[in-house]
Order: sequence, then structure tokens, then C-alpha cells
Amino acid sequence: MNRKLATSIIVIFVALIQTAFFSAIFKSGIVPDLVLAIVIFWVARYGKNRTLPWIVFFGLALDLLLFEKIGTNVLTYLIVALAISALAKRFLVSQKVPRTLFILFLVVLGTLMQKILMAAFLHPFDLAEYFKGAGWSYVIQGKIIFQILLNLAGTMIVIFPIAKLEKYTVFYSREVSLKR
Amino acid sequence: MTSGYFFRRPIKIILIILLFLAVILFLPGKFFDPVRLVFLEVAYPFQKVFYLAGEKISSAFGFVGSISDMREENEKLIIENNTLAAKVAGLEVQKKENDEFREQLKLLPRNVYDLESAWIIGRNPNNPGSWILVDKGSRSGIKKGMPVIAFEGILVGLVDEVLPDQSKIILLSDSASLVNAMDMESGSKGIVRGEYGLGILLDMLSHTEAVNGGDTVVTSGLSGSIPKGLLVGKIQHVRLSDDKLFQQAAVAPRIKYTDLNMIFIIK
Repeated sequence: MNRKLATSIIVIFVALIQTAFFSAIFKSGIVPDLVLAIVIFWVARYGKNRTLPWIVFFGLALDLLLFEKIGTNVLTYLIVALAISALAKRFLVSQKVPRTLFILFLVVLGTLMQKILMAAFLHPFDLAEYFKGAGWSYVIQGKIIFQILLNLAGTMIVIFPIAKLEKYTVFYSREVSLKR
Repeated sequence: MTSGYFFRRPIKIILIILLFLAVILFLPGKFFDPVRLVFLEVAYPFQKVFYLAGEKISSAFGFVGSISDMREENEKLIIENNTLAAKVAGLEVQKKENDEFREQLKLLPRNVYDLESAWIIGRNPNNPGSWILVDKGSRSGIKKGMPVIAFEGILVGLVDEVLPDQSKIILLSDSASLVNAMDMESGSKGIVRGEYGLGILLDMLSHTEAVNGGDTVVTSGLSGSIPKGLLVGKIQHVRLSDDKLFQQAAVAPRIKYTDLNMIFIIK
């Protein structure tokens, strides 16, 4: 119970940092996606079966804090987690690629998937018009590159404290090591 | 097919995805408002602390970064200030004459706005031109639809959602924002709507009206809930709508929404 509470507090704390703290610092509309970093880390380290309920909780917290339709962030991060899980099983377990490089690749892929899925869920009925206007300007102004770089930096920063806090979370007692 | 077939994990995951997809597409947005209300009321003090802490850090770094621009901006502001001072002097005379005429004709005095000041305690991190969160709510008499201004006369948005201690304001550049407005120079009336948080468009202008770049856009007061004469911005350029039936004008807002720290809600 205590581990569940600690994990819940971590989830809400990270969601608040991303939505409140970073929105005051990064006013360009591009903030480091700490939630994506943690989703990638947890899914790659513990597998999707144990992390999916917490990813749903992450998504719910973001939907509530960002005044978005319930399910928008849930579905986005759920789909990203499933894709990452499939790739992690294929490449990380077989150790075909360097681990760190692969995590960074997952962050890039996760960023692109997250942006496209969020656009699709937020503008389901005028998606073409959105991509023609705001979506396209996001790409040609280089904002997507900046977003990827910020997410990579955020991942590097957040992974170490999250790994340290692992012993307080629900994942600790049944940790699956994916070390080389 | 075994009885446990529908309980296998991939099926469960697919069902969860379909459920949330249905919730996003078909359930009205207000369905989960009670849940949101409770969550946000609990998160409110942490939200405020985190945002204000971020603001302090942002201000400190912003000051250092803007030193080189300050001299140029300072000169620009001095010129603008002097121009405005001259205009204000002329307008004060007109105001005095107007008040005298109103008194002579026994007209009711102009409305004085009942303003509620509020600090900004949050904004959409993914789209700062979309909405902001302020620290006043229903306990301070705030209601949905109230207009929100900055600097006593510049319209920035409308109250969209109200909680006991905080309110969500949609900015004029948000896609859901629609305000009746007019071109002050030509008198042409239209509707100001937002474009995905990136800009403002004055739409539905009659193509027979002479609307030009540099014209001032103000609220027309037609909706009733928004007073007439609130400044929206200046027209940048004019074009025909896709269906060629109306003119559309891109409007540059008078202020940068990300620079706002405090706003006023007209009750």
C-alpha cells in the first residue's frame, strides 16, 4: 500500500512539474516531456504488463491538469508504451544495439508518436486543417527538433532520480533487470 | 474458443484502447467535470506554488537575456508613450464634452466596470496561446463567459471554466474563442476567432467594406456579455475567405499573452 502511495505521489508530482513548473519557464509551448521519459524508462526496464496501469494513471493526471478530454493523454501514452515495449523486447533483450543509444532512439520515436497522436485526438474532426496550419508550422519552424532535444535532455536528467526512487515504488520487489 | 479467450491480455489492451477512443470521440467533455473539480481543488496549492516558482526562475533568466534588447525597447517605448500621452490629452477633452452632453440630454452615465483582479497561476504548457489559469473562481463571483482584460481595456479572453478557487480563461487565439468585433476605422463588423493558439482572425467581414492593414479592431458589443470598445489588436493583412464570400483579416494582438502575470475579469 505504501509503495502504491509513493508511486502515485511520484506520478502526480511529475505531472505537476511538467504542467505547472515547466509551463512558467518554457513559454514557447515546448516543454520537456518528463512523463514520456518515465514511461519509456519504466516500460523498457519493467515491461508493459506491470507499468500499464501507472501509465493510465499518468495519462489521467495529465488530462485532468491540462483540461483535456479524459482519455486523450491516456490513449497517447498507452499506444506509445505498447510500441516501445515491442521494440524493447526485440532489441534490448537481444542486446543487438547499445542500450543508451537505443533509449535515446526510443525518446525520439516516442516524441514523434506522442505529437502525432495528441494532434489526432485533440482535433479528430479537423485534423487535415490542423496539420495544414498549426501542425505544419510546428515542423517547418523547427519546433519538433527543439522538442526532441528537450525530451532527450529531460530523459537524461530524470532517469537517474527515478532509478534512485525505485526502491520506494511498486516495481522494486519484482524488478526485472535488463542490464547487460 | 476457450472461455478465457476474451480475458487474454492483448484483448484486454485492445478493449481498453477502444473504450478510451469512444470516450474521447463520443462522450461530452463535461462528463468528468466532478472528477476534475475534486482533483484540481486538491492540486490547486501545489499548482500555484510550482507555477509561481517557475515564474520567478523565468523572470531571473529573462532579465539577464533581455539586457541587450532593453535599450532599443526603451527608446521605442518612450516614443510610443509620448504619442499616447498626446492622444490621451485629446481624448480627455472629448470625454469631458461627452459627459456634459450626456448630462444635458439626461442620458444614463457610462458603465464603470466591476473588475476582479487575478494572478495567472498556470497556462497550457503545450500551447501558451490557448488558455491560462487564474487564482479566482466562483467564491469570488466569477462566472463562465465573463470577459477578461489586461491593462484596463485590452481584451485577452473569456472565462471558460470556473472552479471554487480558480478559473480557466480561453485566450482570443484559442480555436474555441469567438468574439463579436469590428474594424474601428471602417465600422465593418465581424467575428474574431482564434487559430489553434497561434493567431487571431477577424472573419465574416463583408467584402464590400474597406478594411485595411493597420486598422484597429475592437469589440462591437453585439453579444451583450462583452462590452463595446475593448481593444483586440491591429489588422496585419486582409484576404478573401476560401469560399470568396467574406474578407478575413489577420489580427496582431496588442499584447503578448506569455508576458501577462495579472488580468482583470469584468463581472
